[in-house]
Amino acid sequence: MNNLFLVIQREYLTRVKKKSFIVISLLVPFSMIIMMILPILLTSVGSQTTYNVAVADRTDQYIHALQSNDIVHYTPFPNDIDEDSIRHIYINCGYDAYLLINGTPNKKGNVKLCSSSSLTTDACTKIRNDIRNEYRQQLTDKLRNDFPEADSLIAHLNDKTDISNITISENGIDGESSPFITEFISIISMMLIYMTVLISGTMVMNSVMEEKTNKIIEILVSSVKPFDLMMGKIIGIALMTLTQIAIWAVVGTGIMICTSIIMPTPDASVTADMSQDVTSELAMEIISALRSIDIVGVLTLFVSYYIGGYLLYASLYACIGASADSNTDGQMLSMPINILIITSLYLAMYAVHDPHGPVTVFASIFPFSSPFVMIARLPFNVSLWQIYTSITVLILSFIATTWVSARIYRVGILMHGKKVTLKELWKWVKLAN
Amino acid sequence: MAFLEAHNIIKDYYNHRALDNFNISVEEGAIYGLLGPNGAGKTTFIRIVNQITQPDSGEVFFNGHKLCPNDISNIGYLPEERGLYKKMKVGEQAIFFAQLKGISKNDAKSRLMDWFEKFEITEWWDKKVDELSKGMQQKIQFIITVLHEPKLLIFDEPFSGFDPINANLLKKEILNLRDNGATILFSTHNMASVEEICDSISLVNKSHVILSGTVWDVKQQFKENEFNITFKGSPDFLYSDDNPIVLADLSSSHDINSATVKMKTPMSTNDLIRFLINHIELVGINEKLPSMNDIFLTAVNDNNITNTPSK
Repeated sequence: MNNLFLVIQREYLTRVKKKSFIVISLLVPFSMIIMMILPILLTSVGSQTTYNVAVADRTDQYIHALQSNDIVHYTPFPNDIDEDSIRHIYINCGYDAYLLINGTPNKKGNVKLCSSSSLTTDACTKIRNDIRNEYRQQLTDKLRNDFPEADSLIAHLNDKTDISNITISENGIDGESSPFITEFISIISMMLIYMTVLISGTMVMNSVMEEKTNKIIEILVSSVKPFDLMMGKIIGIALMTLTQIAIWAVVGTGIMICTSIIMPTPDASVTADMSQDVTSELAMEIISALRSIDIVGVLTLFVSYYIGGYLLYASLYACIGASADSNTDGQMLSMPINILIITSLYLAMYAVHDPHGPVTVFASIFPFSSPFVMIARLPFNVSLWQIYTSITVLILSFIATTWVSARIYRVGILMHGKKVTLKELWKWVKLAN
Repeated sequence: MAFLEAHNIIKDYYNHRALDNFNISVEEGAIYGLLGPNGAGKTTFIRIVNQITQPDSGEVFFNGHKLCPNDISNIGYLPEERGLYKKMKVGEQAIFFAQLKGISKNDAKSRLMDWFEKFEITEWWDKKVDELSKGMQQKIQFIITVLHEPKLLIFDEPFSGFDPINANLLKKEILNLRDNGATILFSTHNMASVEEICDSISLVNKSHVILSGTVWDVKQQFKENEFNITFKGSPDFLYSDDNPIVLADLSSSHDINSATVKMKTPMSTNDLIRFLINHIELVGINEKLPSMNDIFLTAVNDNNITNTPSK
């Protein structure tokens, strides 16, 4: 027991003290935040090009409605100049593009935006919206004229549609849920499990291989039981991963708070109202969605699946590391497990869209995919018997894989220069002490 | 009862028998050589003593009782295949291994400092193992092996990778440990070092002990009753057929002759001298004993020849 603790401690401390660990712990949240903030910063700071657009409106119905702003500046162009001439002179007249309106915009070719170099999406969107809005305006005006009684209906055309998504729960307190937030939560938790299992699993494998190929193992196993050594490794690396996640969470929140204090929303005067509206709406949505989910229950299950899934796969990786003779060997041997994990991830992605389909239900009970798939399903209120079955199967499976892995590990770490086949591994499992 | 005893150990791997009725008895305070060609079963036996593997049958007794897991803290093992964590600092690493043997952190630190001073390597404490040469790493491994002051020390090819100066230093330390009461099991192919430091040996071949005893007894067993003599006077008498000895080799420089003679039938050294001084003026005489190297080769070859037909 004491030695198990020492192995955990060594595995944990040597990893946490590494420069790379500290760098990654700080760099990841910083780069995430930079990735989030940079676009906002660029749009608010970067100077915008204003496009001069010549408008030749042959219908005379749109020109008066086109409002210039700092993206696009509209200038009426004399109507008596034919298209070929415009084409040749617009650049010399100081325009970046010309807009030719020959008729209503619902027919292809009636409205043309021509330029020698393409305009930015922002500019194109602005022009398209301006034309469309005016066209709609004209249509509704005509409707109002012809059928005055339709006026009140027309007013509702632009109304927002809002469907409240209520999750009925057994305790009678119905919560309002948002499909977007629910999916978001399940994808985030699924990715978290996926990343940890894959990355920490590979770490366990490499750590086992290091001891084996550097021949440290002979000295080690004379004082530590192979099982303690394997479990110490698995637990030590898990603790390191958890530390890393905790640091990310703390540093990430810290940076978020700091930036929001130091940097008020850019262009506050113009967008303040709108952005505040959007953020408060989003916050409300998140809160109500969270309220509709049983947070404690989901969190407990998340931790259970996280531990179960990690132990299941880490012991497999440890056993691969013990059977491999070199790094290339290890990479090759771990391929099937990697494929298993990636397949499970795909199944989990699928589960988000079909949380109660037969494939999903099976995959959420099958132990190698359940940690991913069930986590993805959890926010969609899974029936209890499925959760219990899946947890039981997972626990039994990781006891089984740990047992098998420990037996393979025990023989494998002292074995050199042998080609490992499945038959060979099975012999190792059967081998008594 | 001896300090370490193995009784009828049998260990099978799935495709061969590594140890077959293996018996050994190591007296307390001895340096015991475990010799034998590669693959003879030495490492398997050492692993059994270290409880890395268990025998299929047979028993090992340690210090008067059946070997049990707690004995690990009284055993120090320097494997032939040995390594250290490359990215870990020397001091930290040594403390880790010492703690695994049940020494407290502070104890380990002070004991390590003593050893580091003894070997004049204190400046390595904060270096990564990566930065040390192979010989330097071996020194650290040696210290790690003996740090917890075990009663039984097992060295598997301890001198491989050492230069003569450091090999000598190591030899001195091993003898020192023996003088301080440790029992040492010593596995090697280096026969010269066996002659120098071992008290007793066992020769293992093809999973059996084929020879064991003190170095003196073993040499007596394999001696061919040959003597080197130096003398003044005519060597002619050596060619006579009536002699109890036959001449094997003769050389002379100035008026001193040197000869190797072999007894026809075993007789005492006194009788030989009596016979010789009747004919010549004896200057020197010593018995030619086989080297451990010769014994090793002879014993293993004989064993292989007798075993082959039955296979």
